[in-house]
Amino acid sequence: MSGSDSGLEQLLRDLVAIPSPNPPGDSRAIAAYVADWLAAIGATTELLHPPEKCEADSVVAVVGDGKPPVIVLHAHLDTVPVAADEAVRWSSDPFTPAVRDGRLYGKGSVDDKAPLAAMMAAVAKLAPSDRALCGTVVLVAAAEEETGGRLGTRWLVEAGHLPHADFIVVGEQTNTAA
Amino acid sequence: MIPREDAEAVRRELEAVVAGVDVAPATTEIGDFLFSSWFDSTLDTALGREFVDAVATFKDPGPVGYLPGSDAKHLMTVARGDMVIFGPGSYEVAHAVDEYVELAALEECEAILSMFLEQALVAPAKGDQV
Repeated sequence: MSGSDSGLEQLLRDLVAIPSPNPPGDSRAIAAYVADWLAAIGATTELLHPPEKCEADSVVAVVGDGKPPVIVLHAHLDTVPVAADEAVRWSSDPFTPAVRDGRLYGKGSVDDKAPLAAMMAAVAKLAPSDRALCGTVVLVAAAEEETGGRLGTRWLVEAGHLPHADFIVVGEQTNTAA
Repeated sequence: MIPREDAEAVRRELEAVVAGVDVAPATTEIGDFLFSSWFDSTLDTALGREFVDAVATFKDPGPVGYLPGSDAKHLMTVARGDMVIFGPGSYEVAHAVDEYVELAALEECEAILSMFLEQALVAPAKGDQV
């Protein structure tokens, strides 16, 4: 399957085009996009934020009835910010995705919107309601990773929003090796 | 932290590094930062083997190291099985000017995850009861 005919490349373009720099860590726009996209493919989706930072929205989406095995796919929504002197050194606008020579350029393209897009697309393949699953997949799109995760993933765990998991994939850059 | 490290040793090492850097007239202060224990994930479970098999369908499955921090440290308390860090591209371009991902790597990542989910959640898991 190619990115162009699966919509995977377009999905990543859409994610890169929604700025989510942290600081300041306002993830509401990208979280809303991800939540709407996942709801549209049939996932049970929640937007969640800690009481001390209402703009730090994370997404928890579930496909399946909660029975084990529970597989958690985790990626983060936020990116590092574009530094004051950084934008002029980019070959193109950091928030306008550009494809050159088989590479998609943009702030957050690899960290962490590529694994997020891949996870969303993989969950979408699993989601059709006529398929009986023998387990559950939970996709977590978390805020606040770039500033330590205290108000993102750590809060999600401590507030009881994430289930115990039999297998967890944390989406970061390993050149697709395990 | 990695195996055999401890929090106080890391802090002492950091303090030594900071003390050796002259930033005058500025001053430095080391605040609180998060430590987490190391997490041992052998992938020697039914799901772990299925994940490695899915990766191996496309490439050498590794393992490879991952040096930067991640949210994995926060997920340790909900992990009752394996946890892996996995994704396309290199962290060396992650925070850089002209950050990019190879589209082929993006597609490969999606294909691996799809194969793993299909094997784990649609076809019954083989081997260990999970």
